Amino acid sequence: MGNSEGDNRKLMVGLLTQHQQRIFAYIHVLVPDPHSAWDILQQTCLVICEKFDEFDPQTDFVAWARQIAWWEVRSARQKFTRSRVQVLDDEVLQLLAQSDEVGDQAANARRDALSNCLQRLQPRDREMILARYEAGSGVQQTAQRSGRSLAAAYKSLSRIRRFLLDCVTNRLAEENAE
Amino acid sequence: MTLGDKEILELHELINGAIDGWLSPTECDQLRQFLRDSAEARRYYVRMMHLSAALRSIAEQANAEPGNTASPSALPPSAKALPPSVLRHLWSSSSSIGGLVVIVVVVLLVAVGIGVSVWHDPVVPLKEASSAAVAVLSQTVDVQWASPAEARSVGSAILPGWLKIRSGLAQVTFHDGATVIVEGPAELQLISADAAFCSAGRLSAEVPPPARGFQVTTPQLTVKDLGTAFGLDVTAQGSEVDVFKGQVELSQKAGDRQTLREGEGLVVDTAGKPRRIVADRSRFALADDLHRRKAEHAADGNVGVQDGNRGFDKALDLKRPTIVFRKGARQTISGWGAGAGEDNGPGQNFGSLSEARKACLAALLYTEAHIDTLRVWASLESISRKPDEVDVSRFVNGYVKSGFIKYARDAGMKRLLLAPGGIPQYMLAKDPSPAAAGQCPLTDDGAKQYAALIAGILHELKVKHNVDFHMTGIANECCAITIPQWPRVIRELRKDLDAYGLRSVKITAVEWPNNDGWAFDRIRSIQSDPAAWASLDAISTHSYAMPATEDFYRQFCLKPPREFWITETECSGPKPVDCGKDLAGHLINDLNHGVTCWIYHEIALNCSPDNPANLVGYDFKASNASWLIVPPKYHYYKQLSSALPAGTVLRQAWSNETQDMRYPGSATKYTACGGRTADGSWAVAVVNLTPVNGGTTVTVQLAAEELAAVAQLVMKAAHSSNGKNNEPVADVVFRHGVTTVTLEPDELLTLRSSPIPPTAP
Repeated sequence: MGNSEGDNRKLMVGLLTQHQQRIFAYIHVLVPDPHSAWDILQQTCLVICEKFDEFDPQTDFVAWARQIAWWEVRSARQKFTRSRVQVLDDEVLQLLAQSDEVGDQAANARRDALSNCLQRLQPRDREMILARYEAGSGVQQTAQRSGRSLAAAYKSLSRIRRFLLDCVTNRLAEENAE
Repeated sequence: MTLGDKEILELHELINGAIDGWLSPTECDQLRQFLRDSAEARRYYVRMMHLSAALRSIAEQANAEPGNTASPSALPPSAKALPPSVLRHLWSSSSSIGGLVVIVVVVLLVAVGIGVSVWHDPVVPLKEASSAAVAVLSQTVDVQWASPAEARSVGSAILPGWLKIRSGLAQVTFHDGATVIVEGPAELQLISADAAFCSAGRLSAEVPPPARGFQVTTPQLTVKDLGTAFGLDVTAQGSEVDVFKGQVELSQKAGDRQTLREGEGLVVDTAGKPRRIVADRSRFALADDLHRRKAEHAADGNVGVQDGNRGFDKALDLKRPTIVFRKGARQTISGWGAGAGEDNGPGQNFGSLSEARKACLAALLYTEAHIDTLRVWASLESISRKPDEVDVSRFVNGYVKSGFIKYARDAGMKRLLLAPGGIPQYMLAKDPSPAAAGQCPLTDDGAKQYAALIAGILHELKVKHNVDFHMTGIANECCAITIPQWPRVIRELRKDLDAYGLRSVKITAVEWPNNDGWAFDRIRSIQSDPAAWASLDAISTHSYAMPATEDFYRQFCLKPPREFWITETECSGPKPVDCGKDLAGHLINDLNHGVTCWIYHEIALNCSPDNPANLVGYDFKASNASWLIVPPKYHYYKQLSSALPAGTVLRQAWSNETQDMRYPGSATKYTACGGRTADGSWAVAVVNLTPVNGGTTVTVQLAAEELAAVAQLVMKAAHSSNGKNNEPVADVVFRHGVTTVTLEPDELLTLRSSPIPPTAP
């Protein structure tokens, strides 16, 4: 492989590193199950690796990657016709995909803010919400690990997310104000 | 619509239900309605999902940080921002030489200012060996080093560091006594006198009793030797350990320890999922093989991949990219298939075509493209809404009354496969369970009812509508049947079919989208139940992101031979011509990994005519000539089904660059399959997998071991590529079993000889 190809790879890794959170946020909007969304992210990154030669560096990487992601979401929806990737219908998906905010410009800032907000949770709540998002972890396992009933786990997760959403929103607003 | 506090609260709960997977169908509808009707609801939803996305990333990182990253060598901090599984993939892809990811990882290191030199320790001749040396290079056979700077001579001492070979064999004797034979392409990092790390490649280790405790680590696991001989194969899919003698202790990253004994093996995939296999001694070079190959090498002055066949060896230049078709019959192709989705109702129905168009379409598919196997759907939820109801009218309208099946049979279709989709609600438990991947599982009664329903449908179709099935699947891509339920459903189904007198109807399972651990575990569960296993005529999966692999073939299809069907795959790349290449890549890969019947999904019974996934598209309403759309991929399919007809017995195709040339999923630029057809001719298919735009020309040597004694064999050739649809090209001549071909990006080349006697002179 020549240098230009090496440079190309370097560029790809740089762009992926910088933007994968935005790409993931986009996929997750379309696929509400976080683990399915994560799987689709993996697949999307692989396709990006394979097709990177076709990417024109003068153009918007995230827009290009989002097209690939959109395709992967569609193909997952075709394949898994009865699973959790089907919570939304095509019409809603189109509406969401057209929304301006879907790509999450502030993805990296949001993640930093969230790290901070997580510290403000009770340790038990923090462990629980992170356990829910660990690879392959369902609500059932999360409930068991945190010693809650399934119903209580659903309620707690909802409550914790509400807290975190408010906290992150406030922090981001403060940062913008500064 | 603006949302009040109450609506926001309600929306918040629904969104959480969507994230955590507990929405009922009614609640799903409520959420959709919110999102359809209100931009504010969509904004709230998007914010929640962005939060959830950030949580998923943080959890992944937290999980990855305690030494759990993909590469055991230090990756730069910036690289940690990539999802570890992506890194793991990037890392593991590096097992193929020339593969993309070696480059990626090296680039990462350069990018953060770590010199490449950390990867390559200097070669120190024996006389200068410092006490730091941990091993000696004791023998080599035709070894090609990864780069000239890597070259070492026999007898040289090796300091801790990397040993990278492109091809050939290198024997390394560790100072503590273990002898390791590495087969290129491989990358082995010597860590100490009794430890090494293997990132890619195949090795065998023989460890005398004093050297007990010698260990080799891979990206997935650590093998600790307890006085034995074992083989290790590290690929992009994971690590395989095969124990030939004694026993080893095996530990995974997760910390689980287990002992493997003689004859046992274990595969751990990149997700860390282990599965047991039977050890296969023949795949690894041990000391005996090394001596034999060395002797051949000396006698011949050339490279031997085959015993004593000088013409073949002389013709073959293993320094160049080569695909060897190894001696020995593997599976037999039983048929070529396509799937046809359910009828979409009046006006979207095969029946609404004119008779001429029906015949034209049938000829195109079943006669010209040799599709002899047709997969048709039965939507069980509509057929049986309550216990004891069997209403096949939708199936009959779509497939039977429309003439779809009749036209197919008249044009050459011989085998019908039933694809049962969905499971009637009344057979399912009320609550989701983890065993059913968060969905509602079949109840015990439901499992019985389910088998009875499929048998009932097949009976009804045969008796009342004269439709005979060759085989039936079970619950397409379904989580609701749990691992322990699978053997039971199969036993019940066999019993019920027999009771209806449908003994000739075969059974296949598990039709999961990928050849992954999910599918493996379920087939393994069936295998562990002798009665169920005896009733399973073919294993089946789909070939989407993860194609057929050697694991499935060896574990389930080898002894006794069993059919392996790919009952769905779909290619819908960005450009039509890329789809053709993609289809050929999937198909050829799968045939090279034990598949006996390959079914494309689908031939458009209910899709829009321009759906890029269709093998052939047709518009039920169009009155002009454009009613029929034949994309390039149809020609790729037809070229392959013509070159490798049913009855072809495959050989194993193996590349000296990318081993099994797995596609999709490895960094291979080409893949191939080949074998002997029923009439005794030789057939080979090779495809260049690089894209039309920005791809590269591939020149590769083809070497068929079994043709070594044939001084000259002429093969007719055909190709498809950008704008070329299955057109003849110049003959290709094999001399002593060897030839060289060049393929443009996206090009599929098929070769077919005239029949040759079984024992060629």
